[in-house]
Amino acid sequence: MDPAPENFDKLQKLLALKRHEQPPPGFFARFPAQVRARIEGHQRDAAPSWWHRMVESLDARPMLAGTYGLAVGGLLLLAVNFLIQPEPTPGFATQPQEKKEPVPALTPTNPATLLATTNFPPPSNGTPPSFLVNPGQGTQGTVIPASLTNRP
Amino acid sequence: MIPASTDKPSEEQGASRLPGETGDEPALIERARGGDLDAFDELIRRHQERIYGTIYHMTSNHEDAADLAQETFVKAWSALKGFKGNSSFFTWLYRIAVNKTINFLKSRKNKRHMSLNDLDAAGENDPLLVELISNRHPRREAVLAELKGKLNTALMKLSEDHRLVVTLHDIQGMPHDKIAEIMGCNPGTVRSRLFYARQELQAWLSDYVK
Repeated sequence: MDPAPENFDKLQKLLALKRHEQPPPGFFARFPAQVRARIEGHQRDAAPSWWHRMVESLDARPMLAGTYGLAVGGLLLLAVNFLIQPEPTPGFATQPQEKKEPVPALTPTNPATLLATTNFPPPSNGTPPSFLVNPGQGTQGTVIPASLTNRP
Repeated sequence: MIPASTDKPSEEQGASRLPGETGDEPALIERARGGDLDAFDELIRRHQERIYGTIYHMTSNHEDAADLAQETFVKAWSALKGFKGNSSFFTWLYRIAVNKTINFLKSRKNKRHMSLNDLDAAGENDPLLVELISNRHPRREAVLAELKGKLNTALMKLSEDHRLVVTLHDIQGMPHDKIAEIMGCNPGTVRSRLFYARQELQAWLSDYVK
């Protein structure tokens, strides 16, 4: 719906006077050359980089863009796979392995040999003490049950 | 020079070509799209006055208008490959100019008011202005300067959308449908904005227009 009609004649006449406002003399004669100089300046400044040229060429050929995307994705997957591998590939080792101190193997098979590594006195008969081979026997060979009545 | 147009542009005008649009324009556009700067120069010559005029009345400043008009044509040159011809070249160009101007006005913090000293001699002797002033004011020069100032201050008080429709319709003489095309709205919205903008202007300029 159009707004209600109103008399704007004088206002319109007043506004129409603004058509007479003009830029300084010669402005429009110089203007196209100024625009042209600006365009040429932009063209000089914005010589296309290899990236822009590549994007433009891919823009025109979607198949090539897809292939390029797949190739980049594949390379990324390879790189991620290489980074998360648990053991280094021998051919790719770049740092020398540190020499580690040899750890003595703890393989005592004989209780006497094991005892020899402690401060316990060696058994006289060459057999380990009974408390070692029979836990719970104690040094006396008897078990004293815990009882309040045995209190001295 | 902006050609004179009727005070009330009719919708029929929209069907005809706007000033600057001639039959060989598609060929010029095609040549310019192919990188021919001479062809683009010709397109600039055809449209520069109206583009500059619109920006000037929107910004109220000659330097800003000159700069924005240049930017408009530079942008048009770089975007010419994307011009599909769905609208006329003139409308497309106007959209670039209007968008640039509105962005500029939004970013501008301190609005400056235009100096209207560059109203040309023909304007000062325009019978409409003579009629408006001389009938009641003996000090014509002083009143003329005051009127210029009041008119432009009032225009700058309008919102950007309202100022744009007043500029395009009442100053540039463009029909509603073309303005709607440029602003991306329907002609009813243009009429409505124009009505409220005129109401505001009339209130601010009541001493002169009643």
